[in-house]
Amino acid sequence: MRKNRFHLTDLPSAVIIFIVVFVFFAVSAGGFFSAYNLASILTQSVIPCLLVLGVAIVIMSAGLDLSVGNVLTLSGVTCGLLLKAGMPVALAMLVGVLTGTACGFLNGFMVAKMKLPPFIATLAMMNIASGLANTLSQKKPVYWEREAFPILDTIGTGAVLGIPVFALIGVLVMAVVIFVFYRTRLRTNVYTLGGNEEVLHLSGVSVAKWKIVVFTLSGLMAGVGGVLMDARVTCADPTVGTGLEFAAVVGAVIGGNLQNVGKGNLFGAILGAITLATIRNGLSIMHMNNYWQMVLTGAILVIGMVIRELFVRIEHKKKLKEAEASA
Amino acid sequence: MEPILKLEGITKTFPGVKALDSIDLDIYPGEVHVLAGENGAGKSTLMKVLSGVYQPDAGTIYVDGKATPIPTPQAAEQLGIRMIYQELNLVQELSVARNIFLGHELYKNRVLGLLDFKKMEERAREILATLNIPIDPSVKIKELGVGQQQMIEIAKALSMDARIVVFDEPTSSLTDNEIEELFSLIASLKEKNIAMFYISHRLGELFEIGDRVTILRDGQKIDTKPISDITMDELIAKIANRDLDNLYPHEPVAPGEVVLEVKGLTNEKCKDISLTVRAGEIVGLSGLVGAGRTELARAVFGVDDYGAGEVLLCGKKVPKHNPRKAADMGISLLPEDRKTEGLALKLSIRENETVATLAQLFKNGWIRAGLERETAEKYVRDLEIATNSVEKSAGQLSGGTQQKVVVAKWLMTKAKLFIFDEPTRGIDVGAKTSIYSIMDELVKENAAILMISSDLQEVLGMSDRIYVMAGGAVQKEFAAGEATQAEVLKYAFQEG
Ligand SMILES: Nc1ncnc2c1ncn2[C@@H]1O[C@H](COP(=O)(O)OP(=O)(O)OP(=O)(O)O)[C@@H](O)[C@H]1O
Ligand SMILES: [Mg+2]
Repeated sequence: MRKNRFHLTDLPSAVIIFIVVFVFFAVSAGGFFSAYNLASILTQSVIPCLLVLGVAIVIMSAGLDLSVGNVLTLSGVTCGLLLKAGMPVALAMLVGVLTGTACGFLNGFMVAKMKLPPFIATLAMMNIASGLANTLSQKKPVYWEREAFPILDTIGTGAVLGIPVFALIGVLVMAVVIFVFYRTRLRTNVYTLGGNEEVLHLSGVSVAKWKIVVFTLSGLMAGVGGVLMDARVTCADPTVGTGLEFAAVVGAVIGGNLQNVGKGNLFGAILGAITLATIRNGLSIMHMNNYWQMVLTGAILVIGMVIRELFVRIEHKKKLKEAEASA
Repeated sequence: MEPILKLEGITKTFPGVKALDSIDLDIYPGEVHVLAGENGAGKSTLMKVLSGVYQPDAGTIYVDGKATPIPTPQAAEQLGIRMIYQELNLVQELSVARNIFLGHELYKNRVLGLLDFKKMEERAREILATLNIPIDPSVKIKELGVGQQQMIEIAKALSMDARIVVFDEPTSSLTDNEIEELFSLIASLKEKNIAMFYISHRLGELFEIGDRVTILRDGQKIDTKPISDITMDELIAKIANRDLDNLYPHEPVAPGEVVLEVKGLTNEKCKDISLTVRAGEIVGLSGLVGAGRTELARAVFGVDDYGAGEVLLCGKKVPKHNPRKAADMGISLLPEDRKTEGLALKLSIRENETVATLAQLFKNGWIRAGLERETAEKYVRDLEIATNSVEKSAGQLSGGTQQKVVVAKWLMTKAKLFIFDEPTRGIDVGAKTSIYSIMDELVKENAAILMISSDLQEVLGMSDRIYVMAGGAVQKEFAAGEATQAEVLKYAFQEG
């Protein structure tokens, strides 16, 4: 009887890239391999990890979300303005998160109901969110009275038992998403959307509803990211999220999440996001500027795909060998 | 007894086609009602009206005598209508159990939506056991063969209580053993008073299991009769709307030089295979599904790699694992899995047909649109492709009509060697004969044909020589006229 087997193609290329990158910086960037710096890489990874989860799930479902960076910004700006206006902190944060969620819902609605290609719908949302964030903030960082909201400082920079609260919250949110993904119908339905959405329809499940769920979830993650970012940097900058969408897409892809294959890997996506954060950290230790990071992130995407192709070929050769051995 | 289901005046129009024209039909508990008709006659559409996928433009559905609209697949599910669709509807990366319960999962905690994986796997195991399907429910679908996947599809449909089950061409990818298993399953469902619709182009099957037969043509009902009141010839005549006295119009020609020579080819699925095909010859490759025939074809054409062995075309070595080169040298492969390998569902019939031959249609860099259109139209006529225009997109065609388009596409290539993998699967009886005639023309023009087929009648009727494969190896070669059905089967069942 047939058994499930491990296929090399199930291994995200992020694993290889991460090891190479990590060893490279550990050897050549002084101060990289210190407890303090490693901890700060992890803290820097929190928000990209949140975004990458949402984006990975969208990609697995054969969608794409280019808006998460600017939706994060908009959520942060909304929350910041409300704080500035003196709204209770819990309420302001909630509205911030809901702003992101609503953007995600709109993305889902455009894709599922108005039948826009995900690329177009989220590209539009990317611009809408950025435009709104800049208008609302008048293109300036929004500051609020820090002393009025000590809880925000606790979230942003505090620690319990030596662990940053910021990271703790991030990990908690990620754990919930992963749990929900693997333990409920979400994974089944997302894989089915990615593999062949007709199957979902014929099984009596609403395709439109689940597409909306998936995009909304991605918006929710961007919303959470936005308010956490506020707490972290103690202001709401209308450009803070720019480029985060690209990092999220690249992280998801090298983490083994591709469109139209009907499968995915959330842990791979997280590793993908951490890999990119590691590169950013290592380069800045080596005093390389931002533009080099962009070059490298782009290159990593290509390298990731090349590694995957390599895996496909090795897997193929392996099959042949087995065959010859049995013949 | 009252019919469990009655359709009255069901009409369904798609842009440019009346797929169903005022159809009346009923079915009784415990009855197997078989549907027959050409590709595009409306069989699948009618069943999709039943399963809530399509809404009829006019007409009424009565369930237990009450008028009952079926607006969605969910509604059909609640009425106990189960559908096994013509195309496989499984998720490759999920386990058998998750696929069986797709859309009606079992929960540990409904409110939180927590799934009960253990219970689903146990239940799946039980369901598979009662259906005599020896598959582990924790295995992912992608690890299974097509036949096994088809059996899972059936298990999925029967995992919930059913009153009416629809089988839309379930046997096209099953082995003989699995077909027998399916038929005994149908018999046991019959005892439980479950009503069944059954669609197949393998007309022999209809007589084996049917109680009544309904023939559709161009969206209209031609007749409904007890199956015992009709003969095979009458049935064929009603389906094709003409008498087909010679189903296999093949006239052997004197074979020429050796075109294909395979020497000791060995890979994952093929064990040390040697064979030859000469110009002017149709060579049948018989065997059970899974015998390694498709894999051999893929290796010869270079889609799959192989280890030992070599492939020669007209004495020249065909490079390994290079389908492009193989095509340039003059090999043409009609793949078995047309939906994923052969057809661009969003492109039009014309584009699909001519994509393999585009080079021949170019002149000074401009595509000769007139010629392209003419050629496409010629094949639409020859194969009686059910469409109102060559510009219709392939995804909108009936299952069998899609097959015809792919076959047409491959027939248009000018090749020295044609490899046809199940050329007539899912194709209606009239068009089968047209395809055979075209094959016959091809060999008269000195082409060589290697035809893989699970349809024994077809192999016996069309081949000049026959190789029988089992367990990845060639078991036997029969010269023209030597083979009989029993002999071929004997070797097909031989293992290793
Ligand atoms: N979604 C669709 N859009 C447009 N036309 C369609 C669609 N589905 C079916 N048709 C058309 O309706 C007609 C009937 O198709 P149907 O699939 O019911 O045929 P069938 O009898 O099942 O044939 P086969 O034996 O090939 O499966 C065909 O002309 C087909 O092109
Ligand atoms: Mg059909």
